[in-house]
Amino acid sequence: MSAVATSRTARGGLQIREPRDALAGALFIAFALAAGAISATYPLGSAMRMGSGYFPLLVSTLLGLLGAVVLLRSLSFGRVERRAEGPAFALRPALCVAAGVVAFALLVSDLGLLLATLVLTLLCGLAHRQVRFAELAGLGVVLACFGGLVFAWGLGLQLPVLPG
Amino acid sequence: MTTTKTALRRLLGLTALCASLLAGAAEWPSQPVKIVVPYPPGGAADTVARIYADALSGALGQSVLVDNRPGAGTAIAAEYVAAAPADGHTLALVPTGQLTVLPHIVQRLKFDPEKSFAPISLLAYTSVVFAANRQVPAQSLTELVELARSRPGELSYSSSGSGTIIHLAGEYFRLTSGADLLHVPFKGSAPAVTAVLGGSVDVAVDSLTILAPQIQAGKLKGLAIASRQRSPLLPDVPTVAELGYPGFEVTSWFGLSAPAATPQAIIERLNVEIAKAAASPAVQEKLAAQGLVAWPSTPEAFAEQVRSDSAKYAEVVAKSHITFD
Amino acid sequence: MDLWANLAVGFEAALTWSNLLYCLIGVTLGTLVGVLPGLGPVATIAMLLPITYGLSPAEALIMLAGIYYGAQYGGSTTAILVNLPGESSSVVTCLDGHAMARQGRAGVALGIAAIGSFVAGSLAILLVAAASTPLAEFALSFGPADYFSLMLLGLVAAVVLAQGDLLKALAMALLGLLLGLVGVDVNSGEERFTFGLPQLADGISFVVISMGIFGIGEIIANLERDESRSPLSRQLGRLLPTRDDYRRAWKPVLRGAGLGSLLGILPGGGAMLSSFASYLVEKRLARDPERFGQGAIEGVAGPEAANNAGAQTSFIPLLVMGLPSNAVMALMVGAMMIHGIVPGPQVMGERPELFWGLIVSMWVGNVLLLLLNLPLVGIWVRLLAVPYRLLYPAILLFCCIGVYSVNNSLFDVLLTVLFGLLGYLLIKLRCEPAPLLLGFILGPLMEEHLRRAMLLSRGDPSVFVTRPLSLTLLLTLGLVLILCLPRLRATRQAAFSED
Repeated sequence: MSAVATSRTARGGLQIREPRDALAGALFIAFALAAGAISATYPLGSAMRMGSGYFPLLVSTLLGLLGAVVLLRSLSFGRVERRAEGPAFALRPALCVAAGVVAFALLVSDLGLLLATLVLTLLCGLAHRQVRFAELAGLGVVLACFGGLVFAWGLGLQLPVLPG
Repeated sequence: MTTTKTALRRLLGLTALCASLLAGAAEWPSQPVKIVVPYPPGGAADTVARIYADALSGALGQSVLVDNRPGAGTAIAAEYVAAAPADGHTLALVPTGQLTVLPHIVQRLKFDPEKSFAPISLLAYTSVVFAANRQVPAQSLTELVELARSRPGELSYSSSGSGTIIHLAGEYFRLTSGADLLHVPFKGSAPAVTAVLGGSVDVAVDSLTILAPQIQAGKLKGLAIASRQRSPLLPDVPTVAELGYPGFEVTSWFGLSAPAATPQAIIERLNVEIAKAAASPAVQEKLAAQGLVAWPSTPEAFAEQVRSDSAKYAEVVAKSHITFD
Repeated sequence: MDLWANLAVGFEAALTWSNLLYCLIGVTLGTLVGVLPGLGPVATIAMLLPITYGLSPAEALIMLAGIYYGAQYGGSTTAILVNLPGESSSVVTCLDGHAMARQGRAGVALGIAAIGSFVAGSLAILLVAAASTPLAEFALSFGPADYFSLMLLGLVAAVVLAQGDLLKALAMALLGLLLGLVGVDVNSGEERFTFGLPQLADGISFVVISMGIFGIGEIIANLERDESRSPLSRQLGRLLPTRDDYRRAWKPVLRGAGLGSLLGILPGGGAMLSSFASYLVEKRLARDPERFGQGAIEGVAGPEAANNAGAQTSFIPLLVMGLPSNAVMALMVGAMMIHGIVPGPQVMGERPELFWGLIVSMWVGNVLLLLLNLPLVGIWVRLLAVPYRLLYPAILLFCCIGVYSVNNSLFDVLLTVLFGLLGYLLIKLRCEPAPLLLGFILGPLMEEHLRRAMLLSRGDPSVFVTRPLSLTLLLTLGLVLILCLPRLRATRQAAFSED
């Protein structure tokens, strides 16, 4: 939950002026390198009979170049008057939401839709600043009933509803 | 030591399994029977499965459902059925290429085309048809071959995908006739035929089901049909064999198989019911509407069809260098 | 005139009680699956296909068609209210539709989406009735090179219409292209980027990507903000558009209808490409393009009109030539086959009551949808008054069920979480997700057509400029790029001066 400090007094030399873009550029380059390295192991073929590696390698190269431009553009070699704020990541919502969804996926086939919905609601509910357990439990029950009625019964999806 | 132990354990497990299966066979089918189709709903394979599923539902007194599991050139469905419990409740709709072409072009299949399945019966077949765009200056297959010889590297044919029976038919003809035709693969029959209608590809190779309506409506020129006899749907279209390539025959058939260890009693019962269904006018009529012909057989005849086609297509695959990896 | 006689046959067939009933069932179901994120018409129609055995061919086709275009109506509701594209064609509705909802104008956005869709749908159906044959011929003349150029144009359009940085948007589109290539390669049959996982052999599903990035990613990003800055406005606002709204929206609706009708005929992604194209056109034509992305009503009216028109005209290749242009149409082929009708050029002549009945029923269905949706607008908008802390678990649940039910696969849900986290990261880095989604859908198609075009031209790339259609599309692309060069410079300046 920490923010990178803002507007430090500028020094000379290499500076990151735009941390978001620097990160984005690095991310694009990383994807491009990984995808390009994998594509290079596939047959490339010729322009007429393209192999399965031709198009992905082409796209990876373009992505890498773009990533490099985005990264370079975010840097500054001289003095910087103002430095943009870096992104701050909220860990609690990310972890709680991910945990809730993963739990749902793991539980639904064995425990059924109703119980999996309750677990999902409770775990995801923890992601919010103000956690009210009674309210969450109520919401879980309502959603479980709604889900069972609409998806399993109404739309006839192949979902186990009860444990078993 | 350990290997003997595991072998022993496996043997015990197998015996127990057989016993339970034999016991289960008596009251089969105890739950809905599932026919796994390796294509999405809507195609010829799906239609064949649904027509027979309908007929079998009545005969077996249990509902027979169609389960579409498309993907990986039909390998996903085959692997699914090969690994399913051999209790007669999971069956596979087998299209021609799955056991006769796929094994020659994909190295790492998780099923054995001969050992993983117990054949039950063939169900139906349709023939492969050659048709051309109306602008192509060839009125017959013979003229097309000459045209391809005089203008090498200019003519092309479309198929519903690499490694399909349609692709094999095209390559088989290319090798037999020596006509220089470029193979252009598509994702399914619809775009393959559209490309020929629009003229970006010259020749369409596909099943009678797909091409008959286009030829009947005069949108494409019917060149030849790769069957033993002409089809009543296209009485004016000659067979390839008639045109000087004796024995040239590519049949796209559909069969029904079960996982290998399925009890013999279930296989026999299904074989009898399929023969009855195939003889009924209702089933024949529904199949005919799709350009399909009912084709029931013994399990042995089905196995023999797989063996002979597999040998034929292995040669085509090797000579035309069709590879998947 | 022939047309009127034909339409009379159609009305006679479509207005029987049973056909009306199945039309109503179809559009209601369609609206429902459209509103519920993750569930789409493809899954629904596939599930209902066996049930249609018991119906007459006309009833079955009318109901299934209703599900398809009903879902286009419903999809926009979710896009506007919770910023989730229920359908791939409502991706762009999220941009301005959701911005309008945040300003308390959700009712107006929903209203104009429904009305625009209705007007465009009606026009498109008239077009289907009057000109399906010549239009089908036009669609046929598209070769692989033309398709590639069209998709390239679509992709660049998506990049240009994205908010924020052009370069990052372009990179996102390329990233989407790469993600779209995961799975078995059609031409060689080789598995790419699957890491040996069989679940990836058929590629990543659209539902997984869109629910991950737009659903989970967006929710995490929203949760870190304060409740006071809740993304949903508490005000219900007006429910129906004002006269000023209509004045702004009528031209975009007509243009959207025209664009959608044309692009809908083309195989593959017709409805989606047309909504993107319409957005681009409206943004270009607007006197004040900076309003786009901030809740411009034109940005909702045009694309919504276009995708509904596209949904209607995508029936043309199926009905006229028997060739399905997308997954839903392939299922319609299946439905026709079940009833012993071989789709093809002969259906129009042999079964006129079925052919014209289906076309007229689509118009009747559009009327039903309007009657169904306008009163519902009030109810939908009231959803916005539900506090976000109660709403997001529900959205997450629908995403989970939607993703899980596609293949009953645990793996798909886990992959969705992964994309959710990636989506969150990208949102924090101010990378626009819409171009990624379009790249993802177009990636495999572009590769397929590029490879086919080069194969047919024997490796000669000049085919892209020697074919008139392709050349026209590429020139349009060049024009678009020139037009947005000033913006490139502007964003650079903004990067210098901003925070």
